[in-house]
Amino acid sequence: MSAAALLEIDHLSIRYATPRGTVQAVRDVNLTIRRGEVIGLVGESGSGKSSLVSSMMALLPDNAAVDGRLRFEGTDIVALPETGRRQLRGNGIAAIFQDPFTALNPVVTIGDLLVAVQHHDHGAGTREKRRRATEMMARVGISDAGRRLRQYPFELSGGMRQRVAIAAALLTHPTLLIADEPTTALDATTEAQIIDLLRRNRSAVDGAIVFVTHHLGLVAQLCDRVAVMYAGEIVETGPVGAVFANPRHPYTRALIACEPALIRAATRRLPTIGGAPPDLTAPPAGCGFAPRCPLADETCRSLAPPVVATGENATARCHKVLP
Amino acid sequence: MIWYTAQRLLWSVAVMTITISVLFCLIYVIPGDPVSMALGPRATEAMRSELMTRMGLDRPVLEQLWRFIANAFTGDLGTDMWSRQPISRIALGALPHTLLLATLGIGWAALIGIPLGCWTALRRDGLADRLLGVFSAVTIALPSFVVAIYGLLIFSVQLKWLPALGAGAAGDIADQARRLILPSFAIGLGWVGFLARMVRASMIEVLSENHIRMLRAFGLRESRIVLRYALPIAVIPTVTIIGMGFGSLLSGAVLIEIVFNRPGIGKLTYDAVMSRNFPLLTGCVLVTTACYVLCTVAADLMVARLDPRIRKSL
Repeated sequence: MSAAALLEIDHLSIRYATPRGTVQAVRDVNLTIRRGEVIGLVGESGSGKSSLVSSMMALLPDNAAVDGRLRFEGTDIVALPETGRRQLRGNGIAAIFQDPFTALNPVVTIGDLLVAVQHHDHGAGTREKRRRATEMMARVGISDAGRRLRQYPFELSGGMRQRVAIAAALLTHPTLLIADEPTTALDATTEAQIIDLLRRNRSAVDGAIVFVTHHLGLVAQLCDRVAVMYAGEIVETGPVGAVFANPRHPYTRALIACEPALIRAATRRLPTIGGAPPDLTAPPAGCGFAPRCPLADETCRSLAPPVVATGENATARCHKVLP
Repeated sequence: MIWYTAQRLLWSVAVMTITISVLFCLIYVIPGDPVSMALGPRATEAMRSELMTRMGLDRPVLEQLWRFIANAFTGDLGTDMWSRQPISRIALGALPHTLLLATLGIGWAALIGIPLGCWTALRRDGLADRLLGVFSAVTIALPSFVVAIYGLLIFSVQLKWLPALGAGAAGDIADQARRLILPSFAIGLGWVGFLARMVRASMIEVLSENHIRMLRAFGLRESRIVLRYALPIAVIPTVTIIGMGFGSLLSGAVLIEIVFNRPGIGKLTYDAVMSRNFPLLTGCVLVTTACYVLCTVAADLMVARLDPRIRKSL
């Protein structure tokens, strides 16, 4: 284990038993997250990023079967019993959720919630925790904190609620902050404000930030490194600049081609990737992207692709790595 | 909150006015006029018209209706022609017996049913959950008077643990309490399973919500999440149901009061029907309706207390 590694994901697979059969949501994922970096996790709906992120939060549903290792600061979360996992949640690992409209408990005030999330800190009293909450409210850009703390979530706007959620996460002094699509439910202006807020608070997190999104533009703005997920696998990782300038996996290239903000030439029709991701109750023997890939041949369809090193800290999982 | 309370009370007054009007009309629909029922077939015409004037029956219908409503709101429900006592006194005298019975019946059911619902929600599809499912189906389907009769046969007749009939001697609290055990058991039994199933269903729904996941992601203890953050939301529909159920028990307890030969507003209503004492019946129905309306208002206020979204939107 290298000294800088904060979270080491080692051959992680997650399966869910469903009435339709076993869904292989995450398949053999390897990823190392280092202290001080912001890593973007990109993928379309159903690519397995939510499951992967839940496992990083030490929070998986009861019907999930997990294989492999997930070492946070050296401790394997997978092997840990639930009580041990609970000790990590909100105490080293913190999360910001997708939908601020439903993520805050409706029957407690903002102040009570912000005090409650500091429960792992047994040294401080309620008064001290409330003072910290007030301070943190100012830091996440909420004015009139004293009044806001006495309000309920439904009295706040969406952007304001997401600021509260960020305040809650930062109050626990996380070494791993997981932002699970924190701006998807917000309008563009509010999104820009929240992204700005996260960027300014990067240094407040003494560790790493995992930023989950399907918005490549945000990854370019916020992240150092990117990991692209497809059909439960990480298909490409690398520094943001390098991956965006020269994607090595055909899926990444197609994804970037579909990003409206990155399209240079004027067009009347937005590009899309034809076809649909594979059914993960019966994952394909070969590459999951093969049916939609313009470069795919017989090898791609029958043989699982190898992980190819494409540079320093950069990999692609493909038979036909692009030059 | 004050405005909301006032609003709900105003609404209750409206409901009561309508109820009273319907009851007033009933007097005209029922065959036989009150005067001949009071005086009997051998009354002279002079006696009849004298009583009609005294009862105000010679006035225009709308004026009668107005006086009827006004009297009811001031607590004057007329005089019982048999006992010569004010009907309000008779009805309000019987009411506490039923209130106590209904409170105890629903009270023990809530004290057991609500925690049971939480517990089975956390251990969904476990053995206890399945047993509760069967228990609920059986006890909800079983009429309370059947439970009452079996209770009497087993605990009073066979085992002789508990007294069978009546409300107990006046002033003897221990005796009165012992005589409340079987009736409140019979009333509450169906409610235990019903409340447990309701709380279980809404608890399962609340526990799957995003804000609960957020609290879990911050490592809060599961028991704290359930009791402090989920239960106040999950119990809201149950509070409304308890309010309405309690209200309807005031008249619904009649079978239990008959089986155990207990005084109460249900028994009084039943007796009024059997003796064709319509003024008394009207009084009983009015008191019951008033209680029912007050119960729903109380439940509404309680819900507003629990849910800040409702409280603050007022």
